[in-house]
Amino acid sequence: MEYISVNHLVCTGCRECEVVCSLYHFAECNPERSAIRIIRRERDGLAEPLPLVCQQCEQAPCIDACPTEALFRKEEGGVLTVDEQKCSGCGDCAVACPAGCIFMDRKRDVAVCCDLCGGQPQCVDLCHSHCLTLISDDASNDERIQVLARELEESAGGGR
Amino acid sequence: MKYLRAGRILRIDLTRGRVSSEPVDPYERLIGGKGINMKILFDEIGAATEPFDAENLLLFGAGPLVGTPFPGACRVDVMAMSPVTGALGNSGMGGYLGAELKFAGYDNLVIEGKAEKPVYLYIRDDQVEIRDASAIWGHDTYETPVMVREDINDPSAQVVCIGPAGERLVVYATIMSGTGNAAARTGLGAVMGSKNLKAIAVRGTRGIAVSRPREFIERCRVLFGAIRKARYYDELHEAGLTRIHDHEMRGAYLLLGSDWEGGETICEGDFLKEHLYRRVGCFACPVACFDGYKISGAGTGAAKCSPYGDLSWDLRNADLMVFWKSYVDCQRYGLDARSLSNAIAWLMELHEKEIINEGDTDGIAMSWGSPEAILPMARRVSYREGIGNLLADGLPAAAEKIGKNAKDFLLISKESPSDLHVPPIKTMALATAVSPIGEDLQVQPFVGYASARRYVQAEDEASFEEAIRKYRERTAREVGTGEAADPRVTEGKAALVRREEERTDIVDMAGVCAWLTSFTGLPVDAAVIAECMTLGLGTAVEVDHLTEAATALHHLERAFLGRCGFTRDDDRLSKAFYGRLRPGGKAVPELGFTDDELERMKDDYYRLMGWDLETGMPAHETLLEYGLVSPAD
Repeated sequence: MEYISVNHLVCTGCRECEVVCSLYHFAECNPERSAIRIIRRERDGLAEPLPLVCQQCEQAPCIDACPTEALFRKEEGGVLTVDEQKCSGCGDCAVACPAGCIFMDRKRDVAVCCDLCGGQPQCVDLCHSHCLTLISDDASNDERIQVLARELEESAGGGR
Repeated sequence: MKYLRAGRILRIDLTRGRVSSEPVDPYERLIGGKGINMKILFDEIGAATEPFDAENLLLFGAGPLVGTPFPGACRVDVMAMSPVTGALGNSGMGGYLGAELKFAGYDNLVIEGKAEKPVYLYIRDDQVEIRDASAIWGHDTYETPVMVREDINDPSAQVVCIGPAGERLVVYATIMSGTGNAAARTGLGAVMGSKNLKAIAVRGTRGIAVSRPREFIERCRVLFGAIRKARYYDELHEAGLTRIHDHEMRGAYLLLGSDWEGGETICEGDFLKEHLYRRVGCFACPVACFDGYKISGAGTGAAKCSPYGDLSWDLRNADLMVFWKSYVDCQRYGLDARSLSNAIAWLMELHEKEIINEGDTDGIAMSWGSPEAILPMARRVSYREGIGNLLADGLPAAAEKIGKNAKDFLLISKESPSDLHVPPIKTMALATAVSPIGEDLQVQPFVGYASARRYVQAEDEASFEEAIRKYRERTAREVGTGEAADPRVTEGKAALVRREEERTDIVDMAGVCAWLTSFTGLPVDAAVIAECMTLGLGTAVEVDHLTEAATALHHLERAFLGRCGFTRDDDRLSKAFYGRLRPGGKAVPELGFTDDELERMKDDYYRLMGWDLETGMPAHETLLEYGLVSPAD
């Protein structure tokens, strides 16, 4: 199972990942369409950014939550995929993800989730702070989404 | 389809409460950012306009690369008629506003008029609102963005604002993001305050199209690789500009000399090590130069570069906690730390010379390095309390009121307070004198300092020659004469300064941070900007196009100064700059400048620009030739 690991403590909040994600997939620079998004909480003159991206959970609540079976994996251990024909844009998947790592592309009203750019994630390549790393492991470890979920809770009040 | 640029200029008239937009196309010759701002200011501001008149414009411009993954393309250029210089006001800021403005569909923002009561702007794509800010007015720049986001119920909006200093029209007021980014110089926060405009909140969801996206990403990836391989990148990435600034400041004081024994810099001691909370940076920036601190009992915030020296060594203050508290106050109140430092140092100098005493400064002895003297000043100036009120209308005005020979000790140019740890060697004297805003520290020819330091450290002429040989080779290559590297002669200095101005103007137009260029030893230059603009726009952009636009911008700045009544005579430095260099307590007149030397360098500089030697101004024909005015003007 491959996924993008997030070490949010070293993230400087530059949003390069967001912008390159949308540019690669949709030919435009638009973080509102990205599959990785940075929640940014500002407090007392300091920013605390938290990048959120699909952790490719084995037991994926987003798949279970989808009423139209638009979220699926082509093979076991494969990357999460959105069937845009089937997706109704209801957003149930985004709500179901404990850390909100599925997003809505409001331009086309479909869900977007990380497809690892077919194996070479653009955001990882351009992440200067070593916050994002492409990890490949066999272990079924859905705990990592909980780690992000806890951080997200800490960031309450922060913006995208 | 519009590529790379958002395509529109948003215009907001606060007097009439009117919002409109117009295409950016007619301005594209000036690339974007600072270039387009300057054209708008030049076209629309008359000579009779005063900085705090409703007719003054407050301009924000994000260049064509802003909002893309181009490394460091985060800048917003901010411009207005300045209450400090009485002519051009200009300062750039990083952060996230520029990208968000582009995502919302705008390259430039033009704010005109004056609201009747405090307001803030909320821009969300096509939806633009002028909203009541009476509940937010009075709050500082840490609190304001939080309150604005709550009010519009959009935690993702990017917000810039003014603090108490801008509200009170303190001429050294800044425009701030909530996390340390500032348009700090030339009093733009006061202009914003004069318009009763507390904050600007922007949220964009429209995005920016790129003509050849895959190639654009690939070029950015290659550039990012080159940045990472640059000699100082690891250093920059680990400690921002802080260690480099520490080193430069020691070098500066080597040239300036001081009878103060000095203190530790941020990195020499434990300050950075002990208190660094996390690194933060701007949009798309692989450097992240801000040091974020959380210091219990002393405040939180993010800092970089000059303020470290402004509020420590420049005031002969060795207590870095005093620096930090004072800096946090500047941030919260929205006050330029460099101007404050200059003002405090000036009062300390006047105190030492017995031109003023405690009675003139609210009962506080303005002794060098005194925490009692330094700590209350940010608040006093920002809130116009006591002595702070005297400084709040600018140092020349304060000097008039103090009288005696107080003005002889001012370190200002075009009325703007200088950075005190910038030694006035020949290159910097010229750069400061001809700067349209009094001092622009993005323009600092490296060779000038490097060779001056070698000169002071050299045992004899032969070892000095040996030490600067590589600099002679470099200037011979870059500006056509090895003499430019000799800090004792005026030859070639104009060309060195002009080269730096051009570099910085090109990045300021494109929207890229100057700290990604040779300024810090990083590889962003006109060639890669032209290349990425070509891939982004889908039409060819040549380096020549960028340099021509930079020259056009420079003519325009000059012509604007001319309209404000400036002449060659205004390209000068205040009296206290002369003879300021005293390495080891010894005068080195050959490294500094005399009136005669400065005038000679100015002649060279005006010749390079094709400006009139008597007035220091471009001819009307030049403006015509560059298409900056129409024949009817």
